[in-house]
Amino acid sequence: MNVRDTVSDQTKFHEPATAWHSLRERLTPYAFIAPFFIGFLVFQLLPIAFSIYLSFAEWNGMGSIEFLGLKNFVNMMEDGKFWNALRVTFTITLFCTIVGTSLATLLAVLLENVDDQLASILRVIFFLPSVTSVVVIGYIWKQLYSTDYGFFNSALMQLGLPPQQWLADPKLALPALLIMLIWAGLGWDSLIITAGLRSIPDEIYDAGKVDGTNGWTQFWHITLPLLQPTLLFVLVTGVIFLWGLFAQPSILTGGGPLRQTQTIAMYLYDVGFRYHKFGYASAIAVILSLIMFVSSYLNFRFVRSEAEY
Amino acid sequence: MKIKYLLLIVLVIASMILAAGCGPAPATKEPTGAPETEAPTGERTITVWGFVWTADWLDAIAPGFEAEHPGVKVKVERFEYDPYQDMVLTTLASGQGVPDVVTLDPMWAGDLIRNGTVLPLDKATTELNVDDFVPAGWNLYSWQGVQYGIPLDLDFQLVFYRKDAYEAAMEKLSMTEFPTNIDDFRALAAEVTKETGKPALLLSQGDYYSWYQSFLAPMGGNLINEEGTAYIFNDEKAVEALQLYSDLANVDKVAKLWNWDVDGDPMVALKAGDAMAILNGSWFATEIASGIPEMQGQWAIAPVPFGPEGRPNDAATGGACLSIPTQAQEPELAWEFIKYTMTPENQAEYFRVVSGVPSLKTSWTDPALDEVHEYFGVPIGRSVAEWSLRAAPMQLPSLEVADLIGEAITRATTGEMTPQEALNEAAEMAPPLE
Repeated sequence: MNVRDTVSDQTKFHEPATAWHSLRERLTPYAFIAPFFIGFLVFQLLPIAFSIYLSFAEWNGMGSIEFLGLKNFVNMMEDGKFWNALRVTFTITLFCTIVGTSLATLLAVLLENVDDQLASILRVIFFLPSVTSVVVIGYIWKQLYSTDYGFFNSALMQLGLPPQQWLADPKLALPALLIMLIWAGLGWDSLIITAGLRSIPDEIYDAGKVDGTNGWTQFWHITLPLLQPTLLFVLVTGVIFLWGLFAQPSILTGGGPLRQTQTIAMYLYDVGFRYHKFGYASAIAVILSLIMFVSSYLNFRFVRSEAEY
Repeated sequence: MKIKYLLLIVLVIASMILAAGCGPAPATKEPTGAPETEAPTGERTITVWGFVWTADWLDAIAPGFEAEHPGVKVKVERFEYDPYQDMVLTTLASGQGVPDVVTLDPMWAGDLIRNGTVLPLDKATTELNVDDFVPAGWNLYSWQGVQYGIPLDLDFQLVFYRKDAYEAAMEKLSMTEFPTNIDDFRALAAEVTKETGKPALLLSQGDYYSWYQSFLAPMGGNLINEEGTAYIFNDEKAVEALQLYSDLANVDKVAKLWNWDVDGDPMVALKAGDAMAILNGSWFATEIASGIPEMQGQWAIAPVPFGPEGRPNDAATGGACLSIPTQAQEPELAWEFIKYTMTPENQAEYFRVVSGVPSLKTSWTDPALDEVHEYFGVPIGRSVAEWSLRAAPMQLPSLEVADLIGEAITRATTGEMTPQEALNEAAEMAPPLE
């Protein structure tokens, strides 16, 4: 009997126990991560799958589900209210990401150049809306915009100007909403951008100074390019948030007047939970998800390619 | 490999469980008629859902039903008004925790009735005295000849007006009573606005309910034809009603359009003296009395004056109803409970708790209706009861149609479209009637 035989015999003798042991060892990590995956499956994956299925069907939430094929998507192409909601959401997303991010960058840069103590106080002030309830913000702005009793009209009248129907005029309601959204997001975005600014090594600025950069050229040729990964983060999270925007316009205007502030998420809610058209609402949700995916991908693709240095 | 199979089996089982849970509620039960099998032992419970004051009333009368039905327990669940609609819809859709009796609001009951979510109340016409109900209230919850709900109160539209401003103007115009036709009202409103410098009336902007109840119904229009097959809210009468609505604000300049969504609670304007009257359901009497207590004695009520002299109807009535969900566990007992709520005594109790005038006329003999309202100085219950006999039957549109009409009102009142164009557009976009 040689050594190989001995090992072989021992292996045979211990095989069942070892196999069980081995199986247990291999299963244990899966058991640890299983709660997450089961939760993910039950609360995310399957509802998503069900929603995709519903997008090809008609269901009023009560009776049987009737398969329609692509009819919901065809109807969507002819639905003026859907296109209006898409237009409103696109306008909000575009405006808030461009103007909001620009203002946040400007604010972050300015705050980096003032006295530390003052900057800290100002940062807290600007950040306050980010930790304030959306409902509170909505009601405060609603009060500010009030036609008869609001601050803005009171100020206009003090200046001898006519009061405006900020939220009731179809032409003014969307700009009024945009102002509130930018104000509410400014503190958060500028905080993220501040973190990005502080990650830029001082040596690069020193080298720039040696090369003769001034404030503007320093910002344009050093700060902005090196800030792009941070801006990418702000843009992508902003785009995702804004495409799903619901609570703020719901509170401020209820989507009116004449659906001029009705976002796609609000329209989806109306179609599903008020009009009981869950199939059509699911079709809108599928399209909305695709839009969010494509927007994020495009942001990521183009901004990242610019950001690589 | 084995592990992968194991995981796959777990996932498949979990998917099956969830798919079963996500799917539509189980097939609905047969409508009333087939008696439910009683539980062999123990207490039977019926669950009754109500919002705000309605739930308070249900709570108050439930012990009486329990006393009449030994072994039966009534569980009243109370909800605030705002989340109630979502609660009802999601619960009825899921089929879980469905109540046996549900209070429905006319703002959104139409969809539930047409979706087959509530049972047809076949016994209503034989076991209740239909003639005892105000016709407009009863017909509200009838769809294509079938009754789906038993009306509670009459949400009759009223003009709540400032006595000082209106009585001064009436005296000037030698009017002895509040106008009952549109021409006199226009003259009076113009005088009020001229004298006070404030709008004589607050009108809800883009609110189909207010327009329908106060303008369309008294002017002889309606939403759907009698057969229930076509929308008629863009016919001549509807256009005339919307034209008047718009003219009061834009031509006569006596009304201010108030957007509840963005302007908030109009009580602020009433309290500040920035409007001399408002249109609202009779329930608003309690709101004014509690919202502006310092103005006690300064407000009065009248039926809406819109429409020509001698018209057959005043405003339409709304008001909540009691219905039985299709998936109720105890539909027979639920019906017994609804019948119990419709006794004159319990309806009089409804008036005492909710302050809404009941739809059941035999309850009107209760002295509570003759009690003078401390704030208004008149017996509101008696006045509303008598006026509501002239109410037009109201129809329940779907929320989608209500939204479309609301937008048409806004388009017409902001001058973006003519009333005819706005209503035509709404009618074209409305979902087909089934």
